[in-house]
Amino acid sequence: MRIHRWRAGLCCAALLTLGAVSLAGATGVYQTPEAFLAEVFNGAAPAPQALWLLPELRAQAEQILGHPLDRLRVRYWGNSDRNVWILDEIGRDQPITVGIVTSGGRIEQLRVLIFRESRGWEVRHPFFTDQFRDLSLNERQELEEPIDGISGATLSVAALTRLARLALMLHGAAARGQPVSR
Amino acid sequence: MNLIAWMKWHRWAGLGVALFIAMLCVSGILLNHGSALGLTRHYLHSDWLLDLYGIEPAQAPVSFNAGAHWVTRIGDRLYFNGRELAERSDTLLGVVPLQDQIVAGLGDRLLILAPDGTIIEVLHATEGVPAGMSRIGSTTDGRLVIETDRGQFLPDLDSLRWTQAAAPDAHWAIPAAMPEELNAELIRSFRDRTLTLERLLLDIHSGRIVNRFGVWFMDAVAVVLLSLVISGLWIWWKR
Repeated sequence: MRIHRWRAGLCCAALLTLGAVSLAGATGVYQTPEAFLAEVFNGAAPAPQALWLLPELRAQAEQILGHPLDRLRVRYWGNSDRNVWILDEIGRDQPITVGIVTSGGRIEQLRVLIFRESRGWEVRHPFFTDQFRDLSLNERQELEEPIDGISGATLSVAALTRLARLALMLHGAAARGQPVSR
Repeated sequence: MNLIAWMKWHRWAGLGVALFIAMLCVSGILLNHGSALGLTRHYLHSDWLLDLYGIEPAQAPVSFNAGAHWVTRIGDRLYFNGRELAERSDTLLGVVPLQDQIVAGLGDRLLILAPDGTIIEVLHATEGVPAGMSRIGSTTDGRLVIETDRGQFLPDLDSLRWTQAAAPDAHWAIPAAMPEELNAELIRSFRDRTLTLERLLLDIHSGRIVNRFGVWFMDAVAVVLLSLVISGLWIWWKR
């Protein structure tokens, strides 16, 4: 019986130790948007284009984000078929800045550039962002493949997924030649 | 101590801290689900609570007149008349009304507003905004002019051409005193959007709600709780 008590005691101690373990976060600027653009375009980023968010586009953006997009015009870099979008979305409290390259209606690359939240920074890693590669939107304006989440980074994962959908939607509008003036 | 003494300690110490442990548990559970419950989006408006926290702007508001409108910064928050804008900045260099838009210089970026205060866009270095912006203004023919470490620029905000040229006739934006009613409205708005339910629960959980004595008190409760764990294990072992 005494052995069983020792085992129970050790189990309690292990549980208490596990409860005390915590991981430090990593927030900050991983790559400036300027450096991201230079990398994507081999040092020669083109002049930015403007996409006005007309009412139909604003409604689609709001449906994707779950809240209104707080601007009337979005800038992007590219030739309409291959574009770079620098977009912000709040995960929990602070905006996450993400660079997304879209090409032929699919995501070529997604990278977290600036992470300001205190938690959920794991979404910066390629093991997560690589999941977005080659994805496009289905008819319901959702990504055609599900994105595997990260425990403890649920809101950051959701924010990046929303931005990926938004970039693809905006890419479609730019490719269709959406009017560039009001 | 013998077993009876341990049991008495366990019973009475448990009773003594039961209320505070319940408070810790409830606040802890709520905080664990803070995002789902929207605790960071729920603001408290009670004057006595806001006064208890001493919530006031750390610095006086900085306001610029833009035609019939006012653009104001309080802390890192920006307001168009009485409405808070989605963009934040701890710098507001100036505000310039142009023909069909209002431009605010935010240090490292330009905030472009429609005449009704809707954000058209925010221009950064990626769009060509020169670094080291120190003030903004307008020329006599109504063009935007920006002064930077590298000289003055006359930008075209639609095509994003940043022409470097001197503007000797520039009229630079300077802060102005906004109407008293607007000032009171903005201070009220600032206070009403500062204290979240999450912050209150965190401070209840840690004891900070009643300054440092509260923290020490909750430390004491935690020590008693730890002693209850030890006495509980000891009693279980001995029986």
